Amino acid sequence: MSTATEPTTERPFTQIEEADLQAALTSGRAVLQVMDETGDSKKIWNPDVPEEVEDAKESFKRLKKAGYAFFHVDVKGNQGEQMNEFAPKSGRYIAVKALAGG
Amino acid sequence: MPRGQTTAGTDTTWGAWNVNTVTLTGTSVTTGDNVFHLWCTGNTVSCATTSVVWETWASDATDPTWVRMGTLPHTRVRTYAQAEMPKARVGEVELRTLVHGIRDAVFALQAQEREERKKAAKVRARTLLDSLLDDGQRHTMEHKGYIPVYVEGPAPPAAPDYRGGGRKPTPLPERREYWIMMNGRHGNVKRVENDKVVESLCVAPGDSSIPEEDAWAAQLLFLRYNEHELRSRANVTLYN
Repeated sequence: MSTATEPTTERPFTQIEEADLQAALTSGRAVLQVMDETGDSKKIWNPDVPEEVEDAKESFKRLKKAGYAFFHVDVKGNQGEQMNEFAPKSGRYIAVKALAGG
Repeated sequence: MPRGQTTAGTDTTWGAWNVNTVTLTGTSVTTGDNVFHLWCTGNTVSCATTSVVWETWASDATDPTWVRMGTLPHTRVRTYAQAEMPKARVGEVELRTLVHGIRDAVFALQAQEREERKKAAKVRARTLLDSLLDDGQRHTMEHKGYIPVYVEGPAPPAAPDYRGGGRKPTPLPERREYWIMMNGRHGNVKRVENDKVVESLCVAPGDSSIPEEDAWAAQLLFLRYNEHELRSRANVTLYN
């Protein structure tokens, strides 16, 4: 991920297989997906574990500062909303680099 | 330690080596000889000859392991040493051809690796895009090459930047239909009325390194959840 070069104490984003992603989501955990040159990099975290929530929040803040927009979508991917503030809840958070006119 | 030299048994460093615990069947073994001395003198040959350590080991019949180890490499080493290296001189042209060949091979490998990474990224991005679509959208995408997106609710204001050749944007309807064309990432978002394209919006994520499938997913997310933001950043071309 292009923004991962900055010094950080966050847990790293990784390439997680779709099956593992679905298993995490159905077990009530949350996934932060960042679009990048590899397709997307992911970080799974548990909304009930304070350390993991803090880590996800740190990633959220860093990416937002780098110009990413966030969308929270449900497990099926059909319902969602854009998020301007971090909220520790289950489901998928998709980070997209801000739009620019062509 | 020089070959054949004995040292006093009290020497702390070499003392352990000075203890003669080996009994050999050869000749000229003196009680108290140290290990190094035995290497040189403890068997059928002595230091005065051209014998070397490996030969002594090899000819020590009390230890067949060393015999094997000593014999085979000894022969091979001699063979390699005696083998002549190729002495042909390489001309400048041949050298340059060789270097260019190696360079081209490295470039080809790097290009292949890039291509494989790109393919893997497209597959991953397509999985993300698929996960955001309903069955109808997926069907249209696979059969018609575009993703239909319907947006309902209060219409956002007209985009400030539009190119209409003198035409003015008309008010947006309550229910708006967009097509995300799967053909590039710029100018691929169309607003459609009665199956006719009335606007073309050129807007994409600022990161051009992401696969096209990611760009389409981003356009889809913005159309669904923040159409206003997408329209306000887009360059709009009018067709009505």
